[in-house]
Amino acid sequence: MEQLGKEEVKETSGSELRTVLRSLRRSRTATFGLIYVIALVIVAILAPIISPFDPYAQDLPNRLQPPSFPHILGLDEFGRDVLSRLIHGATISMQVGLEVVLLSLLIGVIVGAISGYYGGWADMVCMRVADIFLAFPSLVLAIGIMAVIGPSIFNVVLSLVVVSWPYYARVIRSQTITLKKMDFITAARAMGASGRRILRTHIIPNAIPPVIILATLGMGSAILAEAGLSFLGLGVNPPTPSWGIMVASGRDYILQAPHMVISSGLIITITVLAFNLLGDGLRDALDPRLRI
Amino acid sequence: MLVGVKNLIKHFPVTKGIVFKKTVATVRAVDDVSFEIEKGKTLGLVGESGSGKSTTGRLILRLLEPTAGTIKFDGLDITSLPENDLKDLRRRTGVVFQDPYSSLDPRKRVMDIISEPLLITNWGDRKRIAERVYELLDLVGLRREDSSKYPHQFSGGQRQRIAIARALALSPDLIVADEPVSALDVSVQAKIINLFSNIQKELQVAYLFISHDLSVVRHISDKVAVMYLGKIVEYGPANMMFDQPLHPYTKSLLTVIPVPNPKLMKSRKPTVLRGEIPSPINPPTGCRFHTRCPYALKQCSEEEPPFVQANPNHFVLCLFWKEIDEGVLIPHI
Amino acid sequence: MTLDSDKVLLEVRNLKTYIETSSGLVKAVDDVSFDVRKGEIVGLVGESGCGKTMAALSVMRLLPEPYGKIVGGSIYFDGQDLTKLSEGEMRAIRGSKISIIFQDPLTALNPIMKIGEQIVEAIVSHQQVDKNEARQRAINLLHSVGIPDGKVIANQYPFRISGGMRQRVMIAIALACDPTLLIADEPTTNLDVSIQAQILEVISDIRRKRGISVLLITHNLGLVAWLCDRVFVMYAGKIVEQAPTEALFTNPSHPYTELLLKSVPKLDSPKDKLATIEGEVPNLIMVPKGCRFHLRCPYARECCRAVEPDLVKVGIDHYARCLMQDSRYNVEWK
Repeated sequence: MEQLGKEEVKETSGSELRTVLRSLRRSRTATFGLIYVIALVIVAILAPIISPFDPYAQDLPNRLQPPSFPHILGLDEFGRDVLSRLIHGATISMQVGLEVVLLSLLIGVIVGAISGYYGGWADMVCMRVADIFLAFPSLVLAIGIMAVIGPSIFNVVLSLVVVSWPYYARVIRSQTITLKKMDFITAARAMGASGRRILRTHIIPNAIPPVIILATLGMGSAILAEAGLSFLGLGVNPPTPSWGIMVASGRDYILQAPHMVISSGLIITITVLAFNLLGDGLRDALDPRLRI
Repeated sequence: MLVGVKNLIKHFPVTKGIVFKKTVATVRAVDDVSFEIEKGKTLGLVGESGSGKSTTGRLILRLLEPTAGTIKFDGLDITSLPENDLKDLRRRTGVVFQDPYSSLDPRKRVMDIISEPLLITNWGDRKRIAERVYELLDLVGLRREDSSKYPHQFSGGQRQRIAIARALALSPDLIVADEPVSALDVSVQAKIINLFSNIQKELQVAYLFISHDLSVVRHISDKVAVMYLGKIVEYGPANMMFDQPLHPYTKSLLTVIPVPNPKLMKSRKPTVLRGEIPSPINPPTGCRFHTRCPYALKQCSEEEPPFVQANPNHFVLCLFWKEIDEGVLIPHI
Repeated sequence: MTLDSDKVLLEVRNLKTYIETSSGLVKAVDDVSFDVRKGEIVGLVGESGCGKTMAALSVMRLLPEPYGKIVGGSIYFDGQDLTKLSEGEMRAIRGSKISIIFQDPLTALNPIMKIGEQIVEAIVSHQQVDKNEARQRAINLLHSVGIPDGKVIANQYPFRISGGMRQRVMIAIALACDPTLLIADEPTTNLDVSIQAQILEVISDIRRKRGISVLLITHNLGLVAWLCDRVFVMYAGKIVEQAPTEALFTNPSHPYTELLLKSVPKLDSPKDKLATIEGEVPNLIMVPKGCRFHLRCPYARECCRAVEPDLVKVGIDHYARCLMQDSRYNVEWK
């Protein structure tokens, strides 16, 4: 066979991760988001170790003490160290966020891919069900569910998964429908690949990248939602140090001890912002590479 | 004879409504075609948009189920076999598509892409499969090292080579190539066309070579079928068809293909067909070509022409082919 | 075809258009000179990545700013250097004196505007005409590009008509203000052969009836042989050969042209193995030193690696950028 002279390979075969990181580093906001999220994960994991005090230890005589040494962010209404509670709150937030996103993603991918690939009745039914869920404002629906099943971390995750999976399902479904028409899928059919194999090896790996952005933003939303539910008393149970609960109790003492509301409110805001910035950065990083 | 197609029909319903679907029209993509593909030889399938050539290719591969007619592959009637019984067909056929950018999974390495047919059929263990992939890469003019790369690292021509390697993985008897060089640059086209020729010579693979480019088809085909609006209007050995075309459509096409020969182009009198290509949803009555045919008579709009053998092995779908060939019937401008 | 006069309508001299990309500076057009005379059809031919589309966009000053810029050279049209004009002055020329039609009419036409309205818009943006007269002119224009039922088509949206029709509409829009130069960038690449023939007829008619000059950008050598009076062959951002059409095909004087011609399957010749060109088109970010084609050239010698050839005269109006043709280099070539 003829030899093909000296040809250049178009790009260095760096891993996709490296390219994404390089692109993220170009944006200052995305870098901030990435570093913050990584830091938050570390804090969440190491909470028991790095927390200066026991988040549940009460010190009633000193309750509502403003920030001072050694309690850098002050004490709350039961004399508990605010900083330690925030740190443990990070664990809760990350746990909830991760669980909600991963479970919703799992359900969404399965439903969306099968729906999009096989079409027909199954597709219609699944999508109408998804539409029903999407028709409700998600937080209201979550509140409704929580009101019925009662507050606890598990229930919070459950209700948030119920309201989030349709978003992922819809996106994956439309990706699947687009991918189905591509020649490499037809080629797979022509070589006798089963539907299951095509879904597993071709469709899902190609459909996921855009969903990663949704998932990142979804974490921010889930954290915010949990805080909101806990704030309303429908989320995690006290004395668990959820950021939302801290805002709720901080609100009662907003004039005497503003440090409670400010610290917990601020941490929620910055965290959600960081996830959003990271998500936006990822969207830019992944976008041109998504050219199928 | 490797592939025998008789009176093949494929109609696609056009439906309205979401829950309760109603058929409002039919796309008559392939409307009664018959042809044969011989072992180790190439049948060129030529046509413009709406001719049904791509649909025909997919029917042969049973990626679609025919509405009517029969398809025989090496003696076996595969027309209505359920997917489970088509494993043998899948093993003995390969496919190459037009777009080198969407025919390879962008997230898979070349090794995985080419070895997929081998994996699906449990062809052998990892080591044997890898060896086979290297063998195939060499066959198509790529290097071993290329097996660990991703499609986006290759040019269009190289990607087509990968697609060809994949099609050859199980040593198929037939490859259906749907516009395999149309998306490539001129100089790259030549390389891929040569590759197709060499592979056929070496491995005795038959081709169904689908293309709109008559020059390419002429170059590589043993037999040619010209399609128009779902019908084969002329069918015969390549030389005969191109030197002595009988159907007005073929004749016209041959006069309007741009050829890199200025003297020829200036002296040639092109027969430019008037009007648009009709839609396969509403094909013209009688002879489908009559609305654009420079020779059309009243009868042509009323009567469907039969598929007639004009010369040995040379068939034409025209009521007045003889009169046109003898010069008795002249074109009206 | 006799030329109206040997007056030059468009003269591009030493044009350099560079594009900044994330991977580096792409020298898409690197010192290119060509011209179009009155009433001529000139072909700018090359494969993808040779810079021909960028050259066309440079003439129209339609480069993707801020990444793409003309960094050198001049473009003389109708006595003016287009590179020195302001955007406002350029806008007065675009669509009225010089028009361009593209490969894909579907994306070039506004999908939510009726055809008739788009032609009218083209007319009124350059000329002081009232709407009714513009509408009448639009219908006449459609007629002149071979659409007999102009009123019906004018009332349609682009997606409702066929590809061939759309291309005719594009030509109609391009002709709306009586340009003297029409640039056609791969106008028939997406069309079926039989429809392509119709469009080529329209372009041919335009030149014949209105004396409009055409700069035809294409990769199809057959089209060039059919329509063009003169040809410029581009490779890797440079003109490697230029000649009157017949001379180019009967006496190709650059190895690239020669190989390109040999690699096209011919209808009339037996099934020879097609000639191929070794290697791939070079990356316009890192062009080879010396002759840009030398890495793929079967005739290349030592000197080709070191020296970048000039355009050398090989016949009447016929030039080739190759050391083989340059009498100063007395090397054993074959």
